[in-house]
Amino acid sequence: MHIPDGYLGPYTFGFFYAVMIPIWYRAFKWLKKLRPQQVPLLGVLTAFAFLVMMYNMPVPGGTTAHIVGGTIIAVLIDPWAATVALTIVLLIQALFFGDGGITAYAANVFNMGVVLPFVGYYTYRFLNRKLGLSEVLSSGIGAYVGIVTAATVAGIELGIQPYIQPGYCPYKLSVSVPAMAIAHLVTAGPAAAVVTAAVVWYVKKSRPDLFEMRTIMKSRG
Amino acid sequence: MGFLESTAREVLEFTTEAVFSERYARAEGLLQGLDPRVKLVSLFTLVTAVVMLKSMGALLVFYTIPLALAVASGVNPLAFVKRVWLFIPLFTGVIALPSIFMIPGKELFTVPVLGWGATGEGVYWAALFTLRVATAVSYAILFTMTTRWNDVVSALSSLRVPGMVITITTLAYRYLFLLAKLLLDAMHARRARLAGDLGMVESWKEAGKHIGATFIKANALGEEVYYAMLSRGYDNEVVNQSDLHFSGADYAASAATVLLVLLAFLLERGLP
Repeated sequence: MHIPDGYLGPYTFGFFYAVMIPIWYRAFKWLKKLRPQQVPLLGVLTAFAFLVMMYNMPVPGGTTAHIVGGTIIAVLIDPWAATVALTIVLLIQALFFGDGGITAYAANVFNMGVVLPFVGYYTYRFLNRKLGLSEVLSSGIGAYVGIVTAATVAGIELGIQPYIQPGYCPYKLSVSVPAMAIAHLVTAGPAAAVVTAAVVWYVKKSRPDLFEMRTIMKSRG
Repeated sequence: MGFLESTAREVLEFTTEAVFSERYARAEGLLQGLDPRVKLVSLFTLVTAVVMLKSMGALLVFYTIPLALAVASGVNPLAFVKRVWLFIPLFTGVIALPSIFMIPGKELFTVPVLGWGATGEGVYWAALFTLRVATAVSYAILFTMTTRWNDVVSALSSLRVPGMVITITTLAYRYLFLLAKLLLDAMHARRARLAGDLGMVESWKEAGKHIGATFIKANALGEEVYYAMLSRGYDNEVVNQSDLHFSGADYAASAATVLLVLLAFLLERGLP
């Protein structure tokens, strides 16, 4: 899902930098409310988010896919923590591993660090609180909906290029959206769902106290 | 290949890669001697300019610049080109290839059996698109190879990125390697006790448990790091000790960046 440089035209990537500024400001406000001991924790969890992306999951079709882990962090801690962690992870990836473009950085953060964790988290919360589904099941479905939505949004960003600035991503919405959405519906999506549900199940089983950390993170001191 | 092997390989490649890139960054060379702020701002400016280029000639000019800079910075040009082109065919090729047949124009050749006709316009477009991506990636990878991580953090810090974000970034990068090692150990331990291969869904569940265990370790680590920092006088913000200062070379590099942007503009408009 990492969009490289050269796929989005200047209007689109400029637009996403403009969109991300208020979101980054809001995320920074969230950071300021953390207690001192939570800051190093968020640092280590950012490293954790980076590592989650390195898991190579075998998917149907014989290839492998990565999951993003945004929903895992959103469910275990807070969606804003996922935004902060992925902002930093994607910066390290863009600057040091050539993974994801520099001009497309804001668009990538928007897809993977905002759309994915927030959609995943609120789907999880709705299923868990309103429909009474278990935490494990809700988080799995949340991760699935989150990653598919984020991939669809990336597909839209790529697919609008021929309409607004020809010369960049060559495929129209009718090609790019199904390509991104279907790939994630049948490959990375199910993997993300099972992995996220398994993580939540495992953490709940072995360290139920950590699950309370969400309330710790929210109790601002 | 099972997910344990491919993930373990990925983790190993990542750690060796990171060490490898610092090897060039620590050497003497043109780009290594520049202020990281100049490099960071120039990188952003030049990649933006490259993305806006629409003519093959202009792109070729801009493609040779990072090559020349690589040589001047003591980076093996072959290794550099290999690194840039290694992952371009994987992603960009797949996207660019069908457009050879999809863009209307004068037909060049037809694929036997399938009967698809490749057009001259399609080939030109695919080449232009691929070259633009390769050029943008070249600048980014050259930056990576010639800049040390600590210098990037200092640059971000002096470019007014909030201190708290810098603290988290610094910690994340430092603990990335420790967590990667813990992860690798856990994978080897699991592999040693595994008879046969895991099924696909089974491997996803296995990954879930590994990630869950890593999360728990990360939490414990986060707490320990905090107390370790507290005992060393941590006061909610990491003090950046590097002192960056502009030299003559940095002014020259900034001027060169401005000139290159001007050149990009001229090449696009057609030289007078």
